Amino acid sequence: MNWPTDPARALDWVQVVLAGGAALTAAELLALRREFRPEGFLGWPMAARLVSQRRFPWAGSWMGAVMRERGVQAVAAVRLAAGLGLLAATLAGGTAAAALLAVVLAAGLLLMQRVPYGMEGSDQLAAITAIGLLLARMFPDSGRLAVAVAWFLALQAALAYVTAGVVKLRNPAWRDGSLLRGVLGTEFYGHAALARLLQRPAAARAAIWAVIAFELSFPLVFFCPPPLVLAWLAAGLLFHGTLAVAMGLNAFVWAFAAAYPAIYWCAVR
Amino acid sequence: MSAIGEAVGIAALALWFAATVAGQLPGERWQQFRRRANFLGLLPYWGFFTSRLATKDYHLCWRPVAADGVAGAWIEVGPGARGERPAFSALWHPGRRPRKALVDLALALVTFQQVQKFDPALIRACPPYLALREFCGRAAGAGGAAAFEFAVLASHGRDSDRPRSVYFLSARHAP
Repeated sequence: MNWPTDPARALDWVQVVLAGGAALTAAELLALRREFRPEGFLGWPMAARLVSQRRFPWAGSWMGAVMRERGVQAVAAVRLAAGLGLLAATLAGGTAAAALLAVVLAAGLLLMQRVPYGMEGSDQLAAITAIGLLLARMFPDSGRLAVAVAWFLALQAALAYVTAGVVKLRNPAWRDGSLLRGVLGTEFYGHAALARLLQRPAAARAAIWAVIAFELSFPLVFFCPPPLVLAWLAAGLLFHGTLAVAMGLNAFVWAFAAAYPAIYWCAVR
Repeated sequence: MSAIGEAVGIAALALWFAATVAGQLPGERWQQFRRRANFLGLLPYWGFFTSRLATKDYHLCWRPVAADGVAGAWIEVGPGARGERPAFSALWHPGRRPRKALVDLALALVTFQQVQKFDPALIRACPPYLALREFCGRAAGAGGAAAFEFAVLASHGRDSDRPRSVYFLSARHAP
């Protein structure tokens, strides 16, 4: 695979990272087999209370028939296989990518509906990325569509950063660092060593203002010279890597990194 | 044909992005728009960890209630009982799904409670309540209880001395 010097190559890179993330998250769902048993926290008896009363009541009975313990595991297994296949096909420049991408997307959307609680923003961003990519693959000869998809994915990621930054800026508990200290102090989203490091209010304030500055200034990446674009994206990877270590948000690394080749092309075009 | 498809595709992407931008705007009107238009979960909201509710760990518990109305001790069940994340969770973290599900259900339950002005009948019929009741009812049934209550308790960080607070308390049910 070549450096993303045109939108088609950028989308190939997007596809590689998306496929890696899809395979990982599908494998994680397979590892949760016990949770999908009837007595588990993601089991159908409990999920049925959530799915059947959502917007599409028919989805409840349909899912109840095919998306119980084994059904969910089968869909996750198909997504894992399709994700690995997509990864290999894209790296090898194969032609089966569009079909595999469609399978990755369909299985991902199905799982998002089956587990209405417990899904994350990273699942949504991955689904959005897959739909954009699939659209580009449906019209492989359309340069304009490839450009539009690259911009769409780049702007979605930039919007996510800016929104997260604005929300923190508007909230005094984020601005003074206390909310960051509180989150890092929890067992689930926290990290004992980092929480101790940020015990001093000044340290917590400095850390959160660095995050706010990164998030709010992200759109400037589109106006930077190429070396600075790479530095900016490296800072983004460092940011998501830190969140993965500090908060266990590992899937966000893949979901956001998938958009980075599109951001790179849009910024240096 | 492909020119039309190309134009439709580009227009759809532009509309989708515009709708996503609208869904990030503050105010109930825009949030309501996002909830209504959020077909298949494809209109995300990117304001993560928006309140102090994220500074707590949530624990799901049930307790047996005897025929004379005396309640037993709380028994923790579900993903909140698992304590700290594994060390390698930056790379491999399947356990985040059920933990996140518990957080989502707890927050949805309390939000619903506030929106419905603490009307017990409406709260008992809302999906997060029914889901948690289903899960705890199975545990209570396996534990041989004739009746049970469930609760969402909140702890306040690993270094806090504060005892767990009752975040939500259910009505009494038969398993």
